[in-house]
Amino acid sequence: MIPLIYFLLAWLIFLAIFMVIAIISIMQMLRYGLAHPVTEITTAFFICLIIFVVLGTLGYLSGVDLKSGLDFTSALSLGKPPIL
Amino acid sequence: MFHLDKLPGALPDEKIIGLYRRHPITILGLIIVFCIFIILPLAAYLSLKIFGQTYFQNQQLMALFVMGGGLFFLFVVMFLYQHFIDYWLDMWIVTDQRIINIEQNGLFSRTTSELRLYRVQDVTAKVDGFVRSMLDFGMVYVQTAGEKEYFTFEDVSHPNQISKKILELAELDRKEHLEEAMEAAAETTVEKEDELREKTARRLEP
Repeated sequence: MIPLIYFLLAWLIFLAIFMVIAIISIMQMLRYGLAHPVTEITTAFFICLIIFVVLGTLGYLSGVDLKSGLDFTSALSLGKPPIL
Repeated sequence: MFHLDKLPGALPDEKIIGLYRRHPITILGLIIVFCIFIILPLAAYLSLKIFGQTYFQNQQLMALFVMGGGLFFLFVVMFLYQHFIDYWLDMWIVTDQRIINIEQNGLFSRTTSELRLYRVQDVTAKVDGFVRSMLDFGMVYVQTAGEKEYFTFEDVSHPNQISKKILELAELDRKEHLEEAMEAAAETTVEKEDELREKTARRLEP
């Protein structure tokens, strides 16, 4: 049984890595991109997508009991619901 | 941001004639890969919904799926954005006095080079392949005086028109910078003479 909170921590670490790379990418685009609507629209779209996905995931996770565990051996058994 | 009216190292009374980028079709492959990667988690979700409904009754498993799917989607979007940056930040600017080549390689490598038009000697437009011929895009090679390397416009639209334009502009600029152009031509002559001498010496060797 692995508590779901560990998966959340792993998710947060990956999200932090993603955020660092995303911020660098946006900075490069805004620093060197030509002042043009395409530069602004693509960057705004990228930021909106990130916000939408992160908030959506956090919104879903807020309704989940993170202290409960997940048993992979039973979870992967075909046709049967995992034992919690 | 980079403004066209504030070019790097702008010259007095410099006018922009054209700004060129790679043809948009060159990023079509990337868009297809992106679509496939977007479809993958959706397909996994749908197949689980059809064949393994029991997984959706488990809130913990669903939470894991949402976290994994969300991260996957974020990294795919970032992959696409970075490749778009690579495409969008590569550009060739032709002014009435010079050509500026700005090339972005990945996130941290950026090369800006410029070439004065009076130094241009030959311009070659090359369109090869079915897709390039149909959509009229290809390479433009600009040969400069005194330099062996080509200045290349990669996969730009209407390469023949661009090469013609550059030649016309170079001709005009050469008239304005007659002395510098003569010097550049002399450099090339000396280089060519040296090359010829080397070749002859090699042939004469036993």
